[in-house]
Amino acid sequence: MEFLIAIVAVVVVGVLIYNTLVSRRNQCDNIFASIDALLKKRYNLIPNLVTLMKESMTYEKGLLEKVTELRAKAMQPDLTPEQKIAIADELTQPLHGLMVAVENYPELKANEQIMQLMRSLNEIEEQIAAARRAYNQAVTDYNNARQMFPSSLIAGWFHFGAKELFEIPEVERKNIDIKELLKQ
Amino acid sequence: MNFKASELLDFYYEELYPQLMELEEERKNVAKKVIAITAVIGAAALWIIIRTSGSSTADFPVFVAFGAFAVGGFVIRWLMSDYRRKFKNHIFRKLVTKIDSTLLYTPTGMIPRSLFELSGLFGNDIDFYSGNDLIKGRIGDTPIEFSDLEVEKETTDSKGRKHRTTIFSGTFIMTEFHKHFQRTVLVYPDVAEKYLGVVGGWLQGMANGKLVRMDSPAFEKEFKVIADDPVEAHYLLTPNIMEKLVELKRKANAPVYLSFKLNKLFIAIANGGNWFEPTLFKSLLRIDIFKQYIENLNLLLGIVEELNLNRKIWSKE
Repeated sequence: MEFLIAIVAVVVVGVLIYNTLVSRRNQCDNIFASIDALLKKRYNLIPNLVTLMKESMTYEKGLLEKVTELRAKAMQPDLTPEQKIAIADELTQPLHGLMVAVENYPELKANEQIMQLMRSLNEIEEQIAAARRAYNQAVTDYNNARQMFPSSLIAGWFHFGAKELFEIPEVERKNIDIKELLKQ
Repeated sequence: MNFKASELLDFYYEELYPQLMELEEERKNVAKKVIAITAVIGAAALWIIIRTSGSSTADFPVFVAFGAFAVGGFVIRWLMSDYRRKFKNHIFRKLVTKIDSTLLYTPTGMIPRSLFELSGLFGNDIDFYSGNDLIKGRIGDTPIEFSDLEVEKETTDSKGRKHRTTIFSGTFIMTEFHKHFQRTVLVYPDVAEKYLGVVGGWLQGMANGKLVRMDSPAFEKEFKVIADDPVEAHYLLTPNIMEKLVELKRKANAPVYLSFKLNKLFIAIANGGNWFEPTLFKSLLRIDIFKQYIENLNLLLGIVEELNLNRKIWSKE
């Protein structure tokens, strides 16, 4: 009888651990999906912003082209998650460059539509940064559960693969300029 | 709120000191009466307990002690009421308006119960709701209001006796949050993780599916976050805000609760609700006590600036 109880207890604990691992893995995937949705939101704002800025900006043609090109690249179907993130990271710098450049164009700063777009963009940037932090935390929790005993046994048996952390690009950590700019 | 130390001393000696001297006399009288009353009630209770020992039930002394506490508490409150009123209307009001003349101070006012319940921090099962020291105003463009609250619930023990259990006792603050958000994020003091470390965090995760782990170890040690959406929790609780909240908790030296809901930010500091009460057994003329009132006020009013709630770089109007 005791032996039976012991077996049942082990099975129950095993099932609990398995479910925890599954829910942590799903948590990572859910957060990744939110990052994807936020990136799309960001891409949707770009055409408008570029159109509005193109007329006034003379020295930033290169930046505008780079942003448009990267957006087109990001819109391609069948990108892997890694590619999506790589393009998003690449886009961050020229996009910030554009937002800072607005400072040199009083007519752009006076344009309410552009300022509204910039505020939305700034909000999305911050949401993306938050989502990345949330993703990294979820991945850390998942990887910890994968590596710690006894859940490491279950993770091994059921092939719970490791997940990679995002690198938070340097530009995102210091996007002070844009905030300073919008403060005015 | 640009209150410099020298200005503070000038204000204290020039404007408050004469009135404080008067009130200090009253405090001494009240304190003497309170000591006398406490001694009389205590002696009476002791006498009843001794006289009835042996002939009464085992519960009787407890019952007498409770009765003595209740009567004593009531009499002391009554004795202090006039002194408290004068302190708040003449001294504390001056201090509040000195710090910021646009602030509105109502000694008997309080944050409405509906807003306390709206925060979602303590549930709605409330039987007694009272409060005082309501302060309302704007810091920059951001409205803020806070008051002390005493929120209790009536519980019945196994013997059918009724007790009042404290749900919240302290300062409750309501202000506006500068970012858009859709769902509710609640932040509670973290007891399990603080004392049990990793195991505590693990147990918490098992007990509450909506627990969100944050990416700041210092913050995680002090707080736990309950939210439907981990991304939104990270969006509202930026590394900077988390750092500031740890600091707020340390300065307040009391458990701190937060609720981000309907574009508002509710903060509950369970400090016992005596930050703005006059002293009874310590001299009113002590400058350190006076400084403490100012520090507490600055801590609460400073929340808007500390958490950067005035920054209007978001699309929120």
